[in-house]
Amino acid sequence: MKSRRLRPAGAADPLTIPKSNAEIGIGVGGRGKITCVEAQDLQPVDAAGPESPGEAPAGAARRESPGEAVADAVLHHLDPRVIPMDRIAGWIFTACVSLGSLVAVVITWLAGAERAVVLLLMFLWVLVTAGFGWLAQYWPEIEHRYTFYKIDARALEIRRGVLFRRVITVPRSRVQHIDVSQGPLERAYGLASLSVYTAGTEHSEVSLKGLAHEMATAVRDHLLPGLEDDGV
Amino acid sequence: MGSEERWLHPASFVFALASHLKQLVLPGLVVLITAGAGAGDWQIWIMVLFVPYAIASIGRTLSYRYRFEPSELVIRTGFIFRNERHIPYARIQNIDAVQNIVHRLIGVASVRVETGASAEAEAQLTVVSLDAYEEIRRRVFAEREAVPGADGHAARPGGEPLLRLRPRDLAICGLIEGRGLVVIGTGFGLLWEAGLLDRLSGLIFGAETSGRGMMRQVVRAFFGLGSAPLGRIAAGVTIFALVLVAIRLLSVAWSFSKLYGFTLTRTGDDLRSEFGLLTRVASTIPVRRIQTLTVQEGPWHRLFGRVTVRVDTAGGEGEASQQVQRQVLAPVLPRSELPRFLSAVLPDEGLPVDWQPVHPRAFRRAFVGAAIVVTVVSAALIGMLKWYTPIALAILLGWAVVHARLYVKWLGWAVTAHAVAYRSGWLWRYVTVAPFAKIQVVAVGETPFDRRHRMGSVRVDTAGAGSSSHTIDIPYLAKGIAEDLAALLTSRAARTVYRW
Repeated sequence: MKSRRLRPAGAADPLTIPKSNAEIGIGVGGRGKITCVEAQDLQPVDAAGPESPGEAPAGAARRESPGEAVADAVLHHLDPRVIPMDRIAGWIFTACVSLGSLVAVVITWLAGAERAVVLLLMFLWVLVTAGFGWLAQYWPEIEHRYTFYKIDARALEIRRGVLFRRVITVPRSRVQHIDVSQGPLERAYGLASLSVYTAGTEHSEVSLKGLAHEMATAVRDHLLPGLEDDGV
Repeated sequence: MGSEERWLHPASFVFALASHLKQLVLPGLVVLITAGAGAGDWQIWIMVLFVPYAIASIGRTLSYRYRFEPSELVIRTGFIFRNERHIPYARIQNIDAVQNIVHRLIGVASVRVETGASAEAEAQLTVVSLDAYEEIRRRVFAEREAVPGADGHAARPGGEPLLRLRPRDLAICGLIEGRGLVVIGTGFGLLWEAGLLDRLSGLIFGAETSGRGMMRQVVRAFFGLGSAPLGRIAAGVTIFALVLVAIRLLSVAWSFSKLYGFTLTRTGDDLRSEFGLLTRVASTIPVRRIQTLTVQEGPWHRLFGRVTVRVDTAGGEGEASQQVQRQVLAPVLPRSELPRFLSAVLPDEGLPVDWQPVHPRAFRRAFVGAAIVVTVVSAALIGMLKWYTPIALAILLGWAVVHARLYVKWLGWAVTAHAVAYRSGWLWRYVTVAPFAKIQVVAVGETPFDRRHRMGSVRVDTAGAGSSSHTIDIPYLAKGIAEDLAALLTSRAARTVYRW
């Protein structure tokens, strides 16, 4: 089951994930090194599934190329372009917070607060700016390292969380509707956010931000219930 | 073309007017009484603002018309701004009828037509005659699906009742539920506002103790700090005990008025329940709309050998979590009858017997968590407890051990042929069963503590699970078991088709 590449060949992901792979025990075991592009050549492996994978019903043979290629049952990273994009978003946020609090400090100073108070506030301001700046610079990469998605014939699986980790699985038959949305930054990077809606309560909306736009639409086309499912 | 248009019962106008008068008058009276004559008149005059709204609402009632199309119910409202609503019979989940005492005298009922779309009823017909209600029910359910046994049978509660509550059951139900607290609380608040409480306690405790100081006095006396005469303490304790008894008695009264003549019957694929002393309620729950079923058993339940059975049903599209409907299927049910009851309600599901325990180290984790909380709390209260701190800490730690031991003992999960089940709680025990066909999302969670112990939790998300529901969220599972369980549930859920 060799599948087509979904990403331009040039966009090979330099981020190898040996560390996280060992830590969270991904189902593809044994292979210490999975990159986004290489992963597609691997055999589909069912992550810890006791069920026989032979029951792939409708999904396998009905969609055109993107659908088939999408359901490869392999854990993928998000598109690496999401890292620079999140950095920019983070820096914009940091700049807003930093400028806002700086204005507040200056106003306090002009209002005639004591010198010690102003100095303390300045110190706090530096701390806050540095903290947010550090997060803006490094957090996207850390987050990317721990975020995966996997699609097979029956479900969408999302792994996320650095400290508190979650593996969320949405069976295809439970998808109510799907949004693919793009903000201005996402448009500039050719990325998109995928939101899968279910009838559930806590996970009534399961979202995956940072897929290549064409990938997001391919995933959507694969997950949406097809004609076969309607008559039931 | 369908039937000709029907109007609501002529008495509807009176009920619409009455409901608005009630809305206006009741708060007005409360304001008058509690604020006293000294309050300004503006509080009364502000009520005038509600008048246009009331007129609009009454107009809507007067203009309310409905007709039966071959496949849908059509409702038209409004004189100036007109609205026409089409509700396909196939989407109608539930038709409820509520009759309060006045309704019953005239022979009318307030009918709610619900679909899965929203928390509010799709159509609220206040009020129609009982014949009209029967007609709506017959037409809708006859068209909705070809119910075996013809519409005439389906419309009337037929078959053997699954549960019928006798007065003795109602008394037990009242004792178990302890609803009187709400009544007492309201009464207490009103008394407090009116300043009657001070006078009351003044009569009992003597003039120098005001109502607000009473509790403090008792507590101080308890710790040997103040000197309250023994008699007063005894009076305080007696009053407390009397209040407790009164709560339970009121609860019994509440149970009688609310649940009198409770019958649950199964007709075709619907569960019908009827109950109420003054206000009669007739409601229908289609079996396929049941998302999860929870059996609940508290200390009072065990005293009488009873359980309570609730179901969560899907209220809406799942996007707003407050759209929750938790319906009580059996307010009290003898424990011994539970298997028979469940097999009649949900033939595929029974209560599982082979419960799987959680991880062997679960006790350690449950205890360490509780111990940290207990220690922090004791440390924070060191200023108040002074030398009693070590004693308090020892007692609390002992409690933490007992609690953790029993909590872990009662944690369990099970997978049956058609459903997944989870039980938790030792004092108040809950068992929740979710059929595979109703599982929406399966999530495996892993906190840093879980990671240290190679554990994980499995959470099963269903429609209509409220924040107060007992949801399936199994903690302290070995990582491998959690992953296997999640994969199993996902594949079982993926094989089924979800229907509202």
